[in-house]
Amino acid sequence: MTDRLDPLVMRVLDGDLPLEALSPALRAEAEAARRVFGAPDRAPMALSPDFDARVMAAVRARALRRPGAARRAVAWLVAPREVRVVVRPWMAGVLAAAAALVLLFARPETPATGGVAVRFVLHAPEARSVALAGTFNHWDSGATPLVRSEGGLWAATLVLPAGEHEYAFVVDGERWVPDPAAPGVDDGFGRRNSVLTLSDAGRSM
Amino acid sequence: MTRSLAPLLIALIAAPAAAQTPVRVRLEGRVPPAIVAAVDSIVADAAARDLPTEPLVQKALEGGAKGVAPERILAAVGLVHTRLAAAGAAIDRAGATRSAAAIEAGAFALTAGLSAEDVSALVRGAADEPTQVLRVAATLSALGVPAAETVALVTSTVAAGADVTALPQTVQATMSRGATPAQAARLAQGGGGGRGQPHGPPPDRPSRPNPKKP
Amino acid sequence: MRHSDVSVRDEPSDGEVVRAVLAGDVDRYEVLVRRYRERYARYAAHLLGSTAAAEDALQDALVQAYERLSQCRDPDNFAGWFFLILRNGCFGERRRLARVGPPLDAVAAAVPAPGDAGAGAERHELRQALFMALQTLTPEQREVFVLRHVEELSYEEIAARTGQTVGALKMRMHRGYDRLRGLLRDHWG
Repeated sequence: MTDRLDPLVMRVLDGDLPLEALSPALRAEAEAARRVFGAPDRAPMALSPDFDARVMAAVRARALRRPGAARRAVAWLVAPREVRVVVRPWMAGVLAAAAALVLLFARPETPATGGVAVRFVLHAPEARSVALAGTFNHWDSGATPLVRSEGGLWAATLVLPAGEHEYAFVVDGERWVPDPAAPGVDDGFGRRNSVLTLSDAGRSM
Repeated sequence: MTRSLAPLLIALIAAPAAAQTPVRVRLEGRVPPAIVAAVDSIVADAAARDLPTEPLVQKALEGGAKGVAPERILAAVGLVHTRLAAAGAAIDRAGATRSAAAIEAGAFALTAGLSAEDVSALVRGAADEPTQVLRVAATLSALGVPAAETVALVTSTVAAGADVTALPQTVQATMSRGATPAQAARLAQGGGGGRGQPHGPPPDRPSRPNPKKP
Repeated sequence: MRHSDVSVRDEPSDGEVVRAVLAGDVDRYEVLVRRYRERYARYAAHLLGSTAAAEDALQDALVQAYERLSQCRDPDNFAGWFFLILRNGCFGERRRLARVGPPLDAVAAAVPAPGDAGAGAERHELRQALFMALQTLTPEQREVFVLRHVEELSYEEIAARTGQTVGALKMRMHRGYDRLRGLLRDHWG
């Protein structure tokens, strides 16, 4: 059996010849072809909910580069840049103890509770809300809002169990911002997650 | 000199328990309905192969929370499945016993850019529990340390009986002084981690006798 | 993906929106974004073999269309003009992907299908097989297949959109059919 379609069958597929004009054998061939070629998924493709926002952000950025462009998009003049304030242990002497301390790889300090207290801080003075979403709260961006303090710092402290934790900040309920200072991994969706790894609770090092 | 910040929000997060809640119940309302069944079947397949399933559910929930298109969520969950299976196989090949934590750590290492061969090498070089070693290696890789330097640093540290969990902070400290991740890793292996500014390529000879190579 | 879809009477025509944007009202461009983002998403996804790549291609095309808006000779046919920008972008991206490797969605296609028996599983398998087989066609062959069998356009409509002749399109389609026939032998039944 040849793999090529009979030319008459192709004319039927093209709509140039009625099915009835074919012999029974070729008719069966044409019907098989119609079934196979009619199989593709015609469901409309859904786009990400932030698609419009991303396109318009890029469009507005280009508009501003043009001389004399109308500046109605004032809210988007400059994309806010979040600066992550992270205090590494060797910097602890410089800043106050109450300042942010994020442990890249932390040993348990409270073995009784079986977890490590980790403080997450984001400097985002323009934000209206900042939340934390990650594997530890099943990516529920409503579960862990950060609290705003002076200087535009947003903070939260969580007690986390041992293991790998991926997370990101959610700014204004819609913008996913990884921690620029933390190690990151591809999230599989074209963005990056930050990672925090905690060693086994209770294990003495 | 204490700076009083706003009251801290402290939340006690319970460790993720073994999935007693059925997968579909956890996904419903959180991921696009079109893929709930498909994700459930991927999870069932993983369970049948003795692989941990929580990372699969987490990836689906993450995709749903980020508003990602259903096909893309499914692709990402499939990728996690592939990595869990690859990590399990790599641990088997290294002759170690599988544990859920070790497989998750191995999959994390793969996500962070290490290869299955690297995972096997790390497990072989691990004293007893491979999970810790894999977690440290994954973190180093996520910091940008190339695979070869990561494996060398971690396995030599274990062989020397030193503390692997201190490695990421040491390496990052060196990086903050201007070293590249690879340089920082080599310095840490040579025992010079963090001391002074690195000028040019790291010294060929370590400043103390070489730890026993695995 | 009919270009001639009837628009709601209260809404401005494409021409009106384009002229407003060119006059400086950048925000109005969002009307066009909303109107056309989904219309060609399916086409781009099949052409590029990946919904992620399709979304990127759509975004690029929409931004490009904004940048070149003053070159749109017939603002009332923004749709057709935009389609060509998207199409060029897809073909360009296809050449790039040919160098870079298979898209992530191909991994999803390789994941074992749900274990339910019956016609549903068979159809799902056929779809996956067809999807994979389509990726082996040339971009031009794949395009005419997608426009015929996914978007369900006539050859005349395709010719009008893409500027190719009906004869050339049919020839491409037939070559595509032959190739698919060979690859989908097992599903021919």
